[in-house]
Amino acid sequence: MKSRFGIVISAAMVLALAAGCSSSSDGSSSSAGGSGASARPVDVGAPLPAEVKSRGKLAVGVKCDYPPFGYIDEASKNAGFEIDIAHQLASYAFGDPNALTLTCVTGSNRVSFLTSKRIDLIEATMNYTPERAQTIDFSTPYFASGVKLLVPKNSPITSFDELAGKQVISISGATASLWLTQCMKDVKQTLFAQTSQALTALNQNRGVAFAQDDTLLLDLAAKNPNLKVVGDAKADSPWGMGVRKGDAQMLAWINGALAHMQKSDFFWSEFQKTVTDTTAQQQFAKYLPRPGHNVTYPSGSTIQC
Amino acid sequence: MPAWVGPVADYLAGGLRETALLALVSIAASLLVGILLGALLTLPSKPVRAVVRAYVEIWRGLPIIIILFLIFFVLPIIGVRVNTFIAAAIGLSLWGSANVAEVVRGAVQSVPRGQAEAAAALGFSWTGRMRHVLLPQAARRALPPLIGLVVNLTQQTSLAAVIGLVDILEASQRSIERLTLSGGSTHAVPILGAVLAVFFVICLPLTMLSRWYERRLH
Amino acid sequence: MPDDSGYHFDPDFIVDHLGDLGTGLLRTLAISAIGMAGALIVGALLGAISALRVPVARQLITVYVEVFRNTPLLVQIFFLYFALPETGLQLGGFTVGWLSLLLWGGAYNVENFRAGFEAVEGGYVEACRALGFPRLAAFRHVTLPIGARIALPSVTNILISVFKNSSFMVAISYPELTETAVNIVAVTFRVFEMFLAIGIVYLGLVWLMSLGARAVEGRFAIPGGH
Repeated sequence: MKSRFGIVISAAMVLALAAGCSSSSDGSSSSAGGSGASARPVDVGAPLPAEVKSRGKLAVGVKCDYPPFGYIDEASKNAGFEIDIAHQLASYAFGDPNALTLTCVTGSNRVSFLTSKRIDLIEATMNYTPERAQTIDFSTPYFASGVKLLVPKNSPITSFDELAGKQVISISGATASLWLTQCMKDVKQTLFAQTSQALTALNQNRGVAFAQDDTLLLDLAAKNPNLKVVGDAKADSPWGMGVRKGDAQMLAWINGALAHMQKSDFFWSEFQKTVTDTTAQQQFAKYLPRPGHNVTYPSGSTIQC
Repeated sequence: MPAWVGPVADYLAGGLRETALLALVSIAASLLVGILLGALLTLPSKPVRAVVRAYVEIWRGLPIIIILFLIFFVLPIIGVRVNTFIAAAIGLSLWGSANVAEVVRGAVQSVPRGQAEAAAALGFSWTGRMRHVLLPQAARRALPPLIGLVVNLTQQTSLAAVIGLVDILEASQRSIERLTLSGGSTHAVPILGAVLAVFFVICLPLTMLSRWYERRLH
Repeated sequence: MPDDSGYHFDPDFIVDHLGDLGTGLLRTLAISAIGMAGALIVGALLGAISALRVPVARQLITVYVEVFRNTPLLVQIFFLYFALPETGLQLGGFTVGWLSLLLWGGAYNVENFRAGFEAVEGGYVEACRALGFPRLAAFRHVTLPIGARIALPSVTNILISVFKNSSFMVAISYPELTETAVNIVAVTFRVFEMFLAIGIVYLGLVWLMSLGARAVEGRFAIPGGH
């Protein structure tokens, strides 16, 4: 309990000062690494769509609230496993890893961002579901997750069955919410747009559990010693990138690019940089496409009760 | 100062620039379009008034959030593509201009009728009556509510956060997001408190100006 | 609405979600009704205290009014829901919903009522006092009825704004009408139909409220006044 008022004042003062002098750098994409800025585009076996090519930048919708896959780092830059992949895509497309416009999207608006052409591509921890595949086209998969529960350390809840009739926190449009809606109709869902809102709500006991992808929950539990992950993974399914329905050119290019990354074992090497814990690496290794190891989508519904 | 304050303040400062720019653009567009439409609302021509009236009723009647969603997600589907900043500016200006038009109409019509009639009798055209007789008087009456609208528009820029513009509110949200997810405290009280303070410091002088001017009128 | 992004307009889709939207609308109406009623009462009461120049209370009211009028409602809502628990006071979505609307609308209405009361001709009150009425009685029988009528148009304007601003609760994911629509779009992706539909609902309700407000204003108009 330091003087909070003092902090407010100093923050406001720093603000006023900084507002006066800072002039360039517009938030999302900026200079970062000069590595390979002068490199040449990589032929991935399919041409880059003309519209993207003439724009000179790839527009990708990414998560900003999903560490360590897509988040905002301390320097206010997008960072994470998926962001690294996006930079790699940009360097395939233009020979420049920064020829990229990153837009923060959420589970509830990512498809709207794509269909309204604000982005070329969704790369936002999106599980494949046949329902989503009716509205957008999925690339080949590049990772996978299932739905688990984050609960307070002292919570008696150990499985999904114990949620019946209770208030459960989730994210609007997320697979976790879809699964709960279909399979546990007596659960009352409190939906938020952002992970931090859901996490704060859990800490404030606004629900008994936070249902979300195990990949995210493990990270949150590791950073919050008062929380733990429970439950068997539900609705587990691979993640794919999303392109507009029928946009065959974009789909061909992105699949070509992903195959190129698989061949060079890019996913595995980047994943090891992002997730340094070796047991977690082992746990997730099977979800990463590697030379000689393909990840495929299941047939039929991914949301099984 | 705690270590987290520096990066957050930097990020908020960038957001504040976006907020200020959005406010300036929206205020200018709202005043320009709104004053024109307000004047049109006092025209004798019924069809003109009906068209302008429909514009005013629609954009005053809709919640601004809905206007922003419509502009942001629906316009691109019918082939009009604008970036987030422009979308926010258009949405706020639609709302703002409709409200300005209503204020201007009210002010013009509050000028006693006899004056316009006298001017007409002296051979002034509609534009002449407007320019030399009605608008100068209406302007004085309209000024306090217009300043109120400027304050209102400045505050409503925070809604652009809903469509993802990194204004000061969205910057504060992302900072809280980052601090929460990295396992620390959310610091929501000081961060949101700072945002409230910034708006307060900008808006209070304007509000006081409006009130002072209103008192002087009476 | 066919175009190259593969979007097809599908009005039936709204019908499929009427139940959810109806529940959302009820929540919108509930928080709006409490917020509007509260904003009216708070405005009239504090506006009167302010106009009567009650010492200390008047200064406190000024602080309340200026803080809520000069900061964005959206940030106030965020603060009440996400920041207040850090100080030990935790409110649910419904409570934050009506409370934030009440506090915001109340602040504007204090100003509207105060201005209305102060606009009452001094001569009326003086005549009343000369007849031996105490100050409070003069306020109740003269300033209140006339001042409230003067304030009425701006007060009803704010009350309608309170209703429209109930949509701001998307910020805290309280599932009123707009948030319900956002959540349905999150699963069905039918952004066009959804926002068009709820836009029409809001417009219709605002239109009805304006009609009602005008009827009330006409009923209570001061004879001979402008």
